[in-house]
Amino acid sequence: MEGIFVLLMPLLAFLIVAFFGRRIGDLTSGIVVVLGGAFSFVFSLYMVFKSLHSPVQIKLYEFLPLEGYTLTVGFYFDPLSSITAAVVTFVATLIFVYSIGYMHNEFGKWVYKFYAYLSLFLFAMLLIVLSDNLLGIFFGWEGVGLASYLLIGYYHNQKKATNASLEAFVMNRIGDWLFIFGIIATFLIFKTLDIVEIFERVPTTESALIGLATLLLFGGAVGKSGQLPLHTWLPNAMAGPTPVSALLHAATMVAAGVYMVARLYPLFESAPQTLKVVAVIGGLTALFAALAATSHTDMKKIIAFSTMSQLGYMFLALGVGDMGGAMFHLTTHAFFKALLFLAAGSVITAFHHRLYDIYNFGGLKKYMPITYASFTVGALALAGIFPLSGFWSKDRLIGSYYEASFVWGLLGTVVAFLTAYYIFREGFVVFHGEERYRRFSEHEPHEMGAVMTVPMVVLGVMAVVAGFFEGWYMHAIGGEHKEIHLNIAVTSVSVGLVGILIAYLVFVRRLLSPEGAYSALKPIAQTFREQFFTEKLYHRGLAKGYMLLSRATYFVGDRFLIDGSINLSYRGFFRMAKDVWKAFDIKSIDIFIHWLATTSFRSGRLLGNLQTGLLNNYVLFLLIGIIIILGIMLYALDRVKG
Amino acid sequence: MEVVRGDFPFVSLSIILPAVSALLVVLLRERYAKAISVVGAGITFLLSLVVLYLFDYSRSSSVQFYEEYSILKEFNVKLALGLDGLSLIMYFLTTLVSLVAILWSVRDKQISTRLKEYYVAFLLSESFLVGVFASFDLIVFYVFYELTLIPMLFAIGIWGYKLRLYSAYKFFIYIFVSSLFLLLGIASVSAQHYFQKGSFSFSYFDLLKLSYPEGLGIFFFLLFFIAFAVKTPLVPFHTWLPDAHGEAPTAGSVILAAILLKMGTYALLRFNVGLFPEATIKLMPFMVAIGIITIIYASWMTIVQNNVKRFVAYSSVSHMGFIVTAMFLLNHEGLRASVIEMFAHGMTSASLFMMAGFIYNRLHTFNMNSLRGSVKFMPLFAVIVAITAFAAMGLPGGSSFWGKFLTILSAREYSYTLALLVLVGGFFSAAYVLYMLKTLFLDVKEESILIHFKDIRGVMLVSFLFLIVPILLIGFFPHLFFSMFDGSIGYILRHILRLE
Repeated sequence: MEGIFVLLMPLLAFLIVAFFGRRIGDLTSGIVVVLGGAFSFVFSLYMVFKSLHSPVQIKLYEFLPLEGYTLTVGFYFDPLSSITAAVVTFVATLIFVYSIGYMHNEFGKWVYKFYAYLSLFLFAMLLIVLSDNLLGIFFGWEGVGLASYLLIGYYHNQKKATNASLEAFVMNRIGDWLFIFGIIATFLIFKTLDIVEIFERVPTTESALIGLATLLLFGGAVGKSGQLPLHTWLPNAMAGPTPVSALLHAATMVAAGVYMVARLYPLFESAPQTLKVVAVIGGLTALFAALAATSHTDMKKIIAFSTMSQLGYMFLALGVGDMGGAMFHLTTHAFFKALLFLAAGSVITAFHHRLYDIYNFGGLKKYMPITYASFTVGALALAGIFPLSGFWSKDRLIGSYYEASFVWGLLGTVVAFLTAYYIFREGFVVFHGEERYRRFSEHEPHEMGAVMTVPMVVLGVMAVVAGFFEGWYMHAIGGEHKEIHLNIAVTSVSVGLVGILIAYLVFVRRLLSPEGAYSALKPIAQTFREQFFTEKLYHRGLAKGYMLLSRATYFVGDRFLIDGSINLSYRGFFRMAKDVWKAFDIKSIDIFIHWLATTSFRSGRLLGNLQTGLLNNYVLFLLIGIIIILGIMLYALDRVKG
Repeated sequence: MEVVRGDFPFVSLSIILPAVSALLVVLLRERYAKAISVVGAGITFLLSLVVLYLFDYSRSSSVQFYEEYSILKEFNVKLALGLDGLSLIMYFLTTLVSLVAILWSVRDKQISTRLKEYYVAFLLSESFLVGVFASFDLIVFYVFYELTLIPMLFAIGIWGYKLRLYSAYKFFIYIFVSSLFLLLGIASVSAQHYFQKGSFSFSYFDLLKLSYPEGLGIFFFLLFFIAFAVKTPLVPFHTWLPDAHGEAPTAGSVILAAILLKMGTYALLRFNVGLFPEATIKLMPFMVAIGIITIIYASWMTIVQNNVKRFVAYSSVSHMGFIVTAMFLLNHEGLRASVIEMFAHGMTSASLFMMAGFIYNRLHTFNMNSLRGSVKFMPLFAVIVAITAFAAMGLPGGSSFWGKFLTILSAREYSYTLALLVLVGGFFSAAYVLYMLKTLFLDVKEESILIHFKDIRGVMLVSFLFLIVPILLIGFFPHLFFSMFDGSIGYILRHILRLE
């Protein structure tokens, strides 16, 4: 039962901060959230230790009985889930610490909300990682979507941020509904949602539906991990504060898609067609995002596209059958990507959150040495340079690609080259060269406090050393250990170095004027920058078109057809009533009544003569009346009896 | 259907209590009106909690707390009151939402004139609504069903907004004309009983035993259906609803959306499915099609509304489409989905209309755009609205999730296309909910008139909490609610439709 604390800690922190945040203040809220994450990390380490011996399954309570199966709340700790949980909580805790520094200048403006959302985010992510059934994963899945909506739109008075959060949620909803559809299809095949039971039943189940079910489940992963074609929300999500971007891109949210496919890998393995789709989408996204990253100039968006590209890598690996490699890359990626984002956030904080374009910085390396070092370590790891962590995981993946097919391998190598180029382009432009920021600010930038630098240093260390644990990791999660292919390793490292060299020559040595090259290649750069115009298509075409169409339908359907006909019949009814009234009431009935009135008036006069005023006459009339009435009554009684 | 007589007349007491409070409001002075009606509705709510506690959940298919009083011997009309699982949850919904509506009115600034009449209208409508859900005699049902119209008509016509008279008449004519079909249907069913069994009967239990020739069954089904389709409402009979909601006072909208519409769906399940099982199975594709059209069409229309009340009204129509679709899928999960969604929508729609009323109290407009950026000044209110809106959207942990999840699950039993159509509806709902939250609370940088706003508190906050708590309870502990009516649904499936 100790495992429950892994989830309980962030939940508790969330509840404390949500309910009492205003009272305990922003700083205390931040500390509470950090403590929640840290304790959760400690407990998850303990669970890693425990689950290495044997997997643990915890059942909490029953949700709802269905026919033949009861929905429950339960958690499953095996090496895969508990190691992922440990990585998630570790990275998240560091980001929480960092965010205390990052949000420092906004303290007093209800920043506790921000910490509450962060904690909720972590809780939801852990729900995905640790749930033992698909419905539990879906609860976490939606929870992550909700928390990201709240965090991306944190600056809720900026239109950019709220639009981005809306887009993120809507796009995720598409994926989510596919996901729940997939869950239902899985349920109908296996009659259970418990993942352990599903794995037991996979070998004995022969069903054509597995292909469809896995495809739908993968649809959910596409939405959550920002793969093609549900990708436009991911770069726009950079409108949120930088710690959010780091959290979103490193350990939580986008990693959820990859993790889910890896978690259900035995299921996916029994549907080879789906794996092909996974590979194609992953490969295309890796290339697509890498190309987009080469031409963007927003500091955070470049890293965002890089995440998308690396996720594509992982999906490609899953598609070609290297689940262990994909999960290992997910882990190392969590470290160096968080590092890159934190370094970027540090630069942005140094300029008081006003500058984002990389061409507005420059020459920062002597003012911010720790940030510079962190960024460089992160970039080297991302580029896959020996012996940083990225090298080990990436090489393994590229090796697997070549094993599957030459095309995938080539694609992996090309993307590796592009990756090294774009990340070092950003690094060189921001940290080297002339100090372009002087146009905007008088002050010299300086390193932020220890709250922000310590997490970067810790992550930097992890980004360097995490790669050495490849053998242990594979052993733990039951993946096969692969030796490094020397020729592939040499190729990809040298390709990476070439990328770095080009970036260096162009952006530092300026052998080739970047501005000149940009104007020469403008059409291509523009295409990359606009993500092959997909974003425009979605925003202008689909969203606007939908609004227009529904407006038109509203006026034609509801207003014109239904209400129109009702109003018409209502008015027609009155007009007819008026006509009938004139024809009948006035002309016929009234005339009759009038006649009746006049005749009765006249006859009244006639009868008036009877009123003689003599008592005995009245008695006589009374008597006659009584006799008549009695007669009628007697007659009636007679009839009734008879 | 099994009948268990109660030792204590709980049901008739719940009908009489609000009526007596209404009488007290009439007799005493105006300044006591609020206190009396809150206490009256509160006691009725507590009574319903007692009933919930005493209800025997192991036999929820039988009618419990049954009472019977003869009214018209010649035609066999009896005041037959009782609660089975299905009635129970609707009864609980009625007492809960009525209490919330009355509590809300206490602080509603729009209600400044004719206080006595106002509270009388709401107390009477509570008592009639309990009557609707508890009666097992068709004539009694019809009388209560029609009576509910009257307090609502006055609520809209007297305490409504600008176009209140137009809306009130539209509401009245739509519903009244359609329920004439119901009367005709009830009369003909009873006549059928006369031809088959030799005596008139309006008792639900007697009519359950009848069977009809195919054509006649379908004809009767349609007679009942027209009345309930207008009430529910289903597309294309829905245009009275946005108008009625747009002009009704807040508490009126709350009662209208949360309970009055449920009369339609409840009656569809109780009478259409219950009395004409063969016709139901025959007409199933038609009904499901109407349901799906309603879901998609209404959620499509929602997003273009500028008036926040009309916005919520259209989203209600879309939810009712979910309920009807799920109901006529005629399998276990589908029926469960439809009933839980009835309750869930009662909670969320009531809360959303209260949100609209709150906005009007502050701004004197229903225009959605005028509130932009208000999250800064009313964070608690925004959180409450967000919880409700996300629950309505079908986010897990909220009340509507189970309804939608089970609907898709049961739709999938027929075909993937059907399930996909339901999904599309669900997706649209996400779009409009997010759009609404964004328009109401987010954006806008400059300080505006909103700066003088105070956050929600006091009685209004309490009345919101009465709705938020059940929303989260359904989301995280659905078993509590499903156990109320699972037995009834099993009975309908096994003994009436004979599908299992």
